Amino acid sequence: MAVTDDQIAALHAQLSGSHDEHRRLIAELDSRGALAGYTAVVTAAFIEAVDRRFGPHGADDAAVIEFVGDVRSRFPGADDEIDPVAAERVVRKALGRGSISDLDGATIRRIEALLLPVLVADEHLNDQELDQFLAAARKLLES
Amino acid sequence: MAVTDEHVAFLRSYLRGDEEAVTRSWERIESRAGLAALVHAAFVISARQKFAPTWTRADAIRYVANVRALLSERLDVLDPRAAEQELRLALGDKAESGHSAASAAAAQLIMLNALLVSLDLDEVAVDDLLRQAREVAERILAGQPSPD
Repeated sequence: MAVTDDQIAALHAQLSGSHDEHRRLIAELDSRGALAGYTAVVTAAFIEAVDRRFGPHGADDAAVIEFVGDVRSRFPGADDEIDPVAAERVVRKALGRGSISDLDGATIRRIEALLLPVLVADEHLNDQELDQFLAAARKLLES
Repeated sequence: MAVTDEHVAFLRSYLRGDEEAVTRSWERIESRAGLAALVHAAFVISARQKFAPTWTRADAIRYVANVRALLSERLDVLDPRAAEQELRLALGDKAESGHSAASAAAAQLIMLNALLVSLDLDEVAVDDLLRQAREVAERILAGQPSPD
């Protein structure tokens, strides 16, 4: 699947904390009907981020549970916003385990969108490293 | 309704992990209403001991996640949201339980076990906790206010 520079730019803006710029770029993508491609970029970035977080061999289920619990405990309202069982399943699926075929697409996308910024923030990437991360995510989609 | 010696024996056996004794005492239980009250009281007492003197919502979320991580080979055995809510209610949160009585009871029982392990109580201390829980449960069943 082809990824456009402005889709990457929109995600870069979000992950670097430039939320106004992110909203502007998302509005542009939406006006051109390019949001479906953007959500695929988010999913690829989520998979890349999970892989980096949990290592090439994939962490056990206990580590996934503790990660989701940590994220849900960090921000007020996150525990209501993020269903722990669904989130754990989405992370395990990104690690190549289990099935999420019974979860609707909107739920999966929402979980990815909520967890991705936390995964990336925990990496403490500088701008160059963030570019490299997004390049790796892009490669997942384009290969 | 009352808390019986069989209820206490069952719960003590469960907390010791003595499966044979659990089965034996379960078969002797005629009515389970008192047992539910006993489990609830023991759960509340142990939760308040564990999280004294103050607690946060984040503490409850992380604790339940830790318990579930230990049970990770049986992912469906503890409903995380039921467990978090029951824990918050036990610690004084005012929201009503949004889960079925069965989910709440299951969460309380599993969390009680985890709390007692966390508190690292010896047998004497566990027996004392069960004695306190029985007193509280009997007061509640008799329609008297529970001590706070």
